[in-house]
Amino acid sequence: MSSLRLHPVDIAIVASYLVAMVLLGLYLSRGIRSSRDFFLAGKSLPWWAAGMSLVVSDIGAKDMVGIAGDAYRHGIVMMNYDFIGCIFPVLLAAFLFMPFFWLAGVTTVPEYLGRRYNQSVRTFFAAIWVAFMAATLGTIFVSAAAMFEVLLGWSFWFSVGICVLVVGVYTTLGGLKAVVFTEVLSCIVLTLGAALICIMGLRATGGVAGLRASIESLDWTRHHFDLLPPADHAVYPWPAVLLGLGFVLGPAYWIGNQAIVQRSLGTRSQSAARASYVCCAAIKLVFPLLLVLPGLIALALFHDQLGQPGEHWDGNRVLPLVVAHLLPTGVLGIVIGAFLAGVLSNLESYVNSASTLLVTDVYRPFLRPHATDRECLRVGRWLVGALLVGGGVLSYPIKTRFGSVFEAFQTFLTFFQGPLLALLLLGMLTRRATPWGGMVGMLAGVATAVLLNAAEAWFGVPGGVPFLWSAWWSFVTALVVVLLVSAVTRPHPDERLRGLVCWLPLTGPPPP
Amino acid sequence: MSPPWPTLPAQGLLASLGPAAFAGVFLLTALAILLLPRRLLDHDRGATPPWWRNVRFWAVAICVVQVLVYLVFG
Repeated sequence: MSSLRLHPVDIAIVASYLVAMVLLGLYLSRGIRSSRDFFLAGKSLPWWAAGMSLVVSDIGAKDMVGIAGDAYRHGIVMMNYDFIGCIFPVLLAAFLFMPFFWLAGVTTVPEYLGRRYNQSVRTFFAAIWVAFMAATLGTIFVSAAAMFEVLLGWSFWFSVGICVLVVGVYTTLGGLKAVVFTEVLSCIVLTLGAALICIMGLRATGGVAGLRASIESLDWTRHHFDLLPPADHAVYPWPAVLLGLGFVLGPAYWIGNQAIVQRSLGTRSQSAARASYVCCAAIKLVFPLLLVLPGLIALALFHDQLGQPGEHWDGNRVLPLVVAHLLPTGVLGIVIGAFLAGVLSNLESYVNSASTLLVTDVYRPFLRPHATDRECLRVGRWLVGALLVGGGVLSYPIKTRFGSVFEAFQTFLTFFQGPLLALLLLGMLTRRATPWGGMVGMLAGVATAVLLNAAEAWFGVPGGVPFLWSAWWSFVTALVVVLLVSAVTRPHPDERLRGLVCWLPLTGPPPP
Repeated sequence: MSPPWPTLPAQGLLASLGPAAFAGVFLLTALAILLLPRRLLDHDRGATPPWWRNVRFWAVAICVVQVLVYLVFG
């Protein structure tokens, strides 16, 4: 498919958006004087900004492209990623987990795990998160490049270079505050752009009734309008959606993901942090529709071109095709702006959080225990630049290996999300979970996830194990092993666990 | 490896259980949020806000919408 020739109006809209992002980011970078300003925005974020930022940190280019492709393939079951996989865990995080991070006065999730268990657990999860974030950066670059190649005819490396340059300027200087407020702008543009795709698409299909009729006329779309597919569905059986996505992957992502938790820790108070989560959950009631509909619209209108998904089918072509064929001048500029918003917000979230993890959990405790605050700020800024460049380089092997960007992202998640959630849950809910229990449980859970993910290649299991079941069983394994090993090893004394376990509240005032 | 869920007759029951299970999760979440003691929730110790600024109210409203979504479309 040849690339589009954008009308000057579209080019002006896209350029205005990019300039506005950079100027806003630069304006907000004034007054960054300490690592707390850089990593936690000086604890000054309003709840609505943090809430909108949480939404776009999660929904980026990879989701717009990936979910549209998966909605084409599987149907409205993909909405569960935002319903049971997001709204439920976000509310859990707001009312149960967030107060522990807040009262512990930590900057990162591994820092909490280090205080609750030991330094090994902290370092393990910090290293894994950084690796995961670098890989995620790669998937973001891949999805961005796929879109720009179709729409604008840009080469892979040119797309990567533009993203690195724009995000690098304001994220390096402005830290979390610049990230969050530029994400507010991104959230508005993203919502507008996604809504415009849906409205134009539905007009072309003849409304919801026409969309449904077109899709149901195909012979392979029997479950496309099942929000909960049957229990024998090959990829998304509903029990696995509930247990794997709702009870493990969703909570682990929304409770244990540094990019998410960092925004709530940057708010002014615990109440503001809670309100930011609830704001995010409210927006997520609508967003799944905006992400899934383009895939269904593509299925109704372009199934002759895109065909039936098979082994080598490329889901990343679905959204670009809809955008290229349906949107008129002006609207196209806004939608490309929305796509850029997704790319930039995802990139800035992950580089900022990875830099925070590296400085807080690796540089300060292991490399330079006596580093001054100014030095940590300087290292944090350098790391943002290094991570952007590293993620860009890593994106090429990711592009050549994985067919679907979103599938790659989910595969990375399943390896350690289950064990992380098990350790957080037991760490917060029982004083009996011991450092040894945490370490052995963590390793057992990760090993289980790796084995189940490799079931087809290593053990010849036909079709492999659905990744949602991998997540569930790695969580259960970690939970059981932590409990078993903790039963025969020595826990930390109660005084050390105050403020970290729900039955042992702080005796003094909470940290500022 | 056999799938970790029952097959044949039990699947009819399983299919009808799906929406109830998902709606039940959100119903329980709403109840838990409503019944959570205030001392566990409000470490800031501020005055009780009006309903339209009460985070608990909005969280429960979101849960109710989700219950309806799963019962209608599940």
